[in-house]
Amino acid sequence: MKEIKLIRKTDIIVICVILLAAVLLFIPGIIKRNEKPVAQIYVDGSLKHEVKLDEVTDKIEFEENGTLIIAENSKIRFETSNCKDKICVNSGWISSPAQTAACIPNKVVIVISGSQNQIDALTY
Amino acid sequence: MRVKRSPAKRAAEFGIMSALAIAISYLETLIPAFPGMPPGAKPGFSNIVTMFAAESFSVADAFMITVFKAVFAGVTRGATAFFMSLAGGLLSTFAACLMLRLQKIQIGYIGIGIICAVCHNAGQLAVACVISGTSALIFGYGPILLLFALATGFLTGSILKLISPALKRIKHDDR
Repeated sequence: MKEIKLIRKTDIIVICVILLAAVLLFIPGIIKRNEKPVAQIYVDGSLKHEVKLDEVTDKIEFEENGTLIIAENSKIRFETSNCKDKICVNSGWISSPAQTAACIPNKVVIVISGSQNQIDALTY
Repeated sequence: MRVKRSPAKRAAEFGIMSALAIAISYLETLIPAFPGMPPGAKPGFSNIVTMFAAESFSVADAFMITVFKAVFAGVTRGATAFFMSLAGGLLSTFAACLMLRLQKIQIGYIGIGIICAVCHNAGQLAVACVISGTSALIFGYGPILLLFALATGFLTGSILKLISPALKRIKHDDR
């Protein structure tokens, strides 16, 4: 087999294409940044709760599939979970649109969306 | 071009590579989450081993190592980890084999590393979406995982280039 070089022209193209793709995927999040954050809690694949985060001051708790989710002071997080890896708990507080926290083993996902998306979610 | 290996040598090499991949992927789980790193994302240094196996040994060896790694993840971290490791691993090993075998593609180690890392993350994200049934994860994690794969792929590709001459001595020490 031929000697493989560390970097060639193709590699630069690969880097550029992936950077471009990442930037394009970031755009929806950037557009929503100024919208009011709405936390959507998906359980087993369907939207179960919607929390308008900017209206949250007192602690709200949700118990879903072995996870405990807490919303407080316009933020939301997985407080505890019975899963093994605790990736969900380690995600910490999330508060702005396009942020995500997920507990895949327990099938619970928190996605923060902009307020305009709420209509989509409800009509959907 | 390819030296025919004795079954014993093949078993020994395969054992060393599998052990290496498993040890690296276990050590990575000990890295604590730090700000800026997507939660649950790991550098994927064990990709170095599968990429090396795909380059210097055989496609079959590379895939077997990937499956072993997934089984280990399943035993130690549960079914979700098994499926995520398997999907990510198979996709990235497939990509590595494809790029290494297609001589027409003039690609360097860094490009291979990055494409493997992107494929690994894409496979894992796809499985995460399927298991949780929530496709919204793609937009939540996709962009950050792409950027992360760019960085880790750059690193793993560079490391492979550095250590590949040393590792290849295992292969050629037949005397």
